Amino acid sequence: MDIKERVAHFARATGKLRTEIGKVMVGQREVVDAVMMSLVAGGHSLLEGVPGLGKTTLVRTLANAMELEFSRIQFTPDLMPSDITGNKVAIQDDAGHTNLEFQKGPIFANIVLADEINRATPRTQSAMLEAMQERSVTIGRTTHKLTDPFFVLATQNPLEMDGTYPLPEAQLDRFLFKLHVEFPTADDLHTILDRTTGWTEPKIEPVMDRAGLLQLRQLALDVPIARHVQDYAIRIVLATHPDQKHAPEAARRFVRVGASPRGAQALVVASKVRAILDGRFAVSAEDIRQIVKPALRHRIIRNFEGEAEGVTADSILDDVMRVVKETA
Amino acid sequence: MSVAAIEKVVARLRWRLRAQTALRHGLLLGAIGLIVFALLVVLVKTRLLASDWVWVGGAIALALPAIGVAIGVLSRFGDIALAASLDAAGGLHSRLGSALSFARLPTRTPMQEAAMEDAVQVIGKARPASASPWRWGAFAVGAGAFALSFAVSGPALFVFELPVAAMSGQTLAKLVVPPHFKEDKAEVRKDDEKRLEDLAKDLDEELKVAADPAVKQFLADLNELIRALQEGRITPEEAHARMAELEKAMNEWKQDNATNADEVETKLQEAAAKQKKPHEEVTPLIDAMKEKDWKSAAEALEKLAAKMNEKGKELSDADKKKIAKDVEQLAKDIENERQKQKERLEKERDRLEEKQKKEKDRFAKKDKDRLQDTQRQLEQLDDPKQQRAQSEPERQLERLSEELDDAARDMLRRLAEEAQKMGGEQGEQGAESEQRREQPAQEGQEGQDGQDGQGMTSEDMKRAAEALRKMAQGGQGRQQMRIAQGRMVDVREMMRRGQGGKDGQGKDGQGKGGEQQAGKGGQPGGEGDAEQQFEKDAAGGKDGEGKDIMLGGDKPGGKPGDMLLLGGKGQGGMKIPGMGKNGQGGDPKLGQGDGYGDGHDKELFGGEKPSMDFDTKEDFVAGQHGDGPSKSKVVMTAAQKGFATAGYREVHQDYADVVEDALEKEHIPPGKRTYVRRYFDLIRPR
Repeated sequence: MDIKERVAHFARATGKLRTEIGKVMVGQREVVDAVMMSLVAGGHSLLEGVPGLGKTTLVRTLANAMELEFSRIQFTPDLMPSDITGNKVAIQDDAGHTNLEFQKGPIFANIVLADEINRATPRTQSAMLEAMQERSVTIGRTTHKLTDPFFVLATQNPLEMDGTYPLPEAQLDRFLFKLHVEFPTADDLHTILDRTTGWTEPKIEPVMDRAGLLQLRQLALDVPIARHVQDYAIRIVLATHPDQKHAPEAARRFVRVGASPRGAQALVVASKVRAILDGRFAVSAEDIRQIVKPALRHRIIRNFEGEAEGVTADSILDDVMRVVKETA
Repeated sequence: MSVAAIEKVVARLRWRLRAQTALRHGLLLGAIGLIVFALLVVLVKTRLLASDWVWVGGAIALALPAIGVAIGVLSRFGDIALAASLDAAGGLHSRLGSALSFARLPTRTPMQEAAMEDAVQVIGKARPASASPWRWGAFAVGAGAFALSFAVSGPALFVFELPVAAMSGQTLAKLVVPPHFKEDKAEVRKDDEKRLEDLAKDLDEELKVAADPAVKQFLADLNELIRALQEGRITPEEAHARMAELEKAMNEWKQDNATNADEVETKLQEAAAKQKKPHEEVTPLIDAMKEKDWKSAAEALEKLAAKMNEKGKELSDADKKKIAKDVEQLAKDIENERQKQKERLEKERDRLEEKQKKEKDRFAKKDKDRLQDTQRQLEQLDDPKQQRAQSEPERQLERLSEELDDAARDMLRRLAEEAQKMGGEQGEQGAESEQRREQPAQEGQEGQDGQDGQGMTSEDMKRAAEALRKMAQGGQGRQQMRIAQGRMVDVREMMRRGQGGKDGQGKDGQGKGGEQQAGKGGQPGGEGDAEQQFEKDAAGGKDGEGKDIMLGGDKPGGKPGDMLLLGGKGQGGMKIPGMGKNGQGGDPKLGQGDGYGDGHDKELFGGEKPSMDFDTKEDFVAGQHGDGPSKSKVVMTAAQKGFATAGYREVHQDYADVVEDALEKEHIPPGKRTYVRRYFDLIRPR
C-alpha cells in the first residue's frame, strides 16, 4: 500500500470512528475530533465542562467503538493511590500456602476515564503522574508496564470547586489537550432528546482495533512539517512568555510562565494528526492555529493580575496569534 | 518530483510585488522630489539662491522617483515567504511553502514526496493577484496628487515673480547664515571708548606697582580683556565668559587673602598698644604697628636686626636684654591676641563642665548642647586640618608671632651664655689660656657657634619683617582688588550698553529684546541717541521693530524726556510730551516684532556673582535619642496617611506566616486551603 492509499485508509478509518461516535454523541464535533486526535497522537486529554454535557458518554462510546479495554475511575476525596494502581493481596493457593499477589488496578486498561479527577487528593492525583508520563506503574520495587495504547481521559467540573483539589501545573502539562465541552445548541438538544428519551438505545459497533490504532499513530507521526511552519509554531510558543521580545501586551501583563517545550511538542504532534485527518501530507499553518488553544491553554500560568482580572488563557492565545505572523 | 510550476507562480508573485514596491516608492520619493524642487524655486525667486539651483532642484525631482523605482525593482523576497502568502491567499494549507521547503532537502521521505505532488496538483488554485492585489485606489490618489502638484505648482512658480528686489550680481551663491548664528563682536559705545582707554592706562599703572603675583596676574588678565574689547577681537559670549572667570579668580583670591584681614590687623594693633615704654630702638616698630603701617614696621624691624649685628657700634648687654624682653613681650601679646578666641571657648567649656558637675541630672538640655558645641569648636581649633585652612593674613600673624618669639628667646639665651662665659673667664683665666693654646680648633668652633647664634636672631627678625612686609603687600593687594572690582563693574556696564545699543537698532521684520537707556545721567538739554534713532524709525514705520527704550533724565535737573509708545507694523510711534520724567520708560509690550531677536540674555553666563563676603554662623543641633514611636502608632499612621513603613517582602512574609498558622488551626475545607496558598503564592514578592 503506497502512502496515498495509507492516508486514504486513515481518513476512512477515522471517518468510520467519527460516525460510530456520532450515533451517541450529538454535536460536539470539535471535542470529538480533538479526542480522536489525542488518541491517535498518544496523548491524554482533560475534558472540562459542567455536568451532563456527555463527557463520560463520549469516552465510553470511544472505547466501545475501538475494541479497547476500558476502565472508569470515579475520583473521590477518599480514593487512595492503590485504588488506582492496584495492590498486593494475600491469596491462599490449593496447597494452603498464602502468597502475596499483585492485583492490577483500573489503571491497567487502554482507555482510562478519570472522572472528576480534581476531587481526589493531590497524593492520589500524583499516582496518575507516573502512569501518564512513563506509562508504567511501580508497586514496591516492581514496575509494571501499561499496555499500549494507554489513553487517559480526565474530566473535571469547573463550577463545583468545594472539596476539590485543582490539578497542579506539573500534572496539567502532561495532558496533550485541555478541551472545553460547550453546551449544545437547540437543534442538538432536540436530537439528544429524541434519541435518549425512548426505549431504543443506539448500538455501537467496533470499527477499529488496537493494531489499527497503532498503525494510524505511526502514519500520523510520519507526516512532515516544513521548517517555516515549525518556525511559526515555535514563535507562537515563545510569544506566550512575558519576557520575550515579540510577546503581546496581554502576555507581558497577565502571564507568569508561558508554555513549555512540551507544549511545542504537543502543538506539532497534534497538528500532524490534524493534517492527516484532513487527508493532507504535510502540516499547515492553519493546523497550528487550530491546535494552539487546546494544546497550550492549560500550559499558560497566569499571574495574580491575570487571575484577578479574569483574563482567560484563550484570550491571551488569541492575542498571541494576532501578533505572531505566519512568515517571520 | 519537480516543483518548477510552483517556482513559476512564485516568480510571478515576486515581480508583481516588485512592481508595486517600485510604484509606491516612486510616487513617494517623486512627491518629495517635487516638494524639494518647488522649495528651491521659491528660494531662487526670493533671490536667496542662484538661478543655477533650479537645475539642481530639477535633477533632484527626477532622481528621487528613479531611486524609488530602483529600490522596488531590486527588492528581494524569499521564495518560501512568497509561497506561504500564496497558500494563505488561496487557502492551500501551506502546501506550496511546504513543497518548496521539502524540495530543497537532499533526501526526502515518501510522505514529503507525496506532499510535493499534492502541492503541484493544487497549483492552479494559487493566485498571485489574491496574494498581492493592486491597491489601485491608493496608487491613483498618490499619482493624481503628484500630477496635480506638478501641473499647477511648477508652471505657477516659474510664471509668477515674487516682489523681491533683485540682488546685485543677481545671486547670493554662498550660504546665508541666519542672524543669530552670525559671528558677533563685542562692542562698546563711542563715548565709552575713551573711558575704556583710561581704564586700560590706569591698569597699566597698577600693574607696575602690584607686588602680589596673583594680583598682578589678575590685573594683567583684566587689562587684556579691556584691550580685546577696544580692538573688537572678542565676541560678547567670550567677553562674558572671561568676565566670569575673572570674577571667579577674584573671589578665590579674596577667600584666601582678605578673610579676617581687618581682624588680624586689629589684633596686631592692639598687641602693639599694650607695649609700655619700649626701648628706644623698638619704639619705631611699635609706633608703626599702632598706625597699621606694616611696611614701616617691617623696615623698623629690619633696622633693629641690623643694629643688633652692627660691628663697632654694638649695643650694651643691658640694651640688648631690654630689646629682647620688649620683643618677647610683643610676641607674647600677639600670641595672646591670637589665642583670645580659644581662651574664651575654654573658659566657657570649664564653666559649663563645672555647672554640669554641680547640677548633674538637672543639667539643662540647652546647656548640654552648648557644651557640646563649645567642645566641637575647640576640637576644630586644635585640628591641624582646620589650621591649614586659615587665611593668608592669619598665617602671617602666626608666623610673625613665632619669629619674634624665637628671635627674643635666641637673644636672651645668647646673652645668658655670654654672661656665664665672662664669669668663667675671670676665674680660670690662666688655665683657660693654656687650654686655648692646646685646643685652638675647639675654640674656633665655639666662636663659630656664637656667630651662628647672633645670625639666627637676626634671621628670625628678618623673617618676622618679611611677614610684616607680606601683610603690607596683602593690604595693597586688597586695595588693588577693590579698585579692579569697581573697574570690572564699569567694563560690564559698558559691554551692556554697547550690546543694548546694537540690539536697539531696528531691522525689518525682527523684534528686538535689547534694552536701550538713553539720556541717562540727565544731561541738560540732551536726548539719547537711541531716542533720536527711534523717532526716526518710528516715523518711517518699519515693520515689526520692537525696542525697549528708557528715555528721559534720571537725575533731578535733567531735561524731561518724552515717552514714546512704539507703533506696530508700519505705524509711527505716538509721542506723549512731558511723559517719561524721572526715567519713566515705554511699555515693553508695545512694538514687539513678529520676528526673533538677535540679542542675548545678559545673565547668560550667570550675571554678576553674589558677593561671597558675608558672615556665617555655625549652629549645632542635637538629634533626639530614643526608641521611636510604638509599632501600633506606626501601623495607625500608615493606615491614616497611607505610606509604607516596611518592605513588601517583609509584610508578605508576616502575613503568609499568619495564614499558615490559621490554615493549621482553623477549620478550613481542604479544597479552599489550596486557593489560599495559591493566592499567597501569586502575590509573593519577586
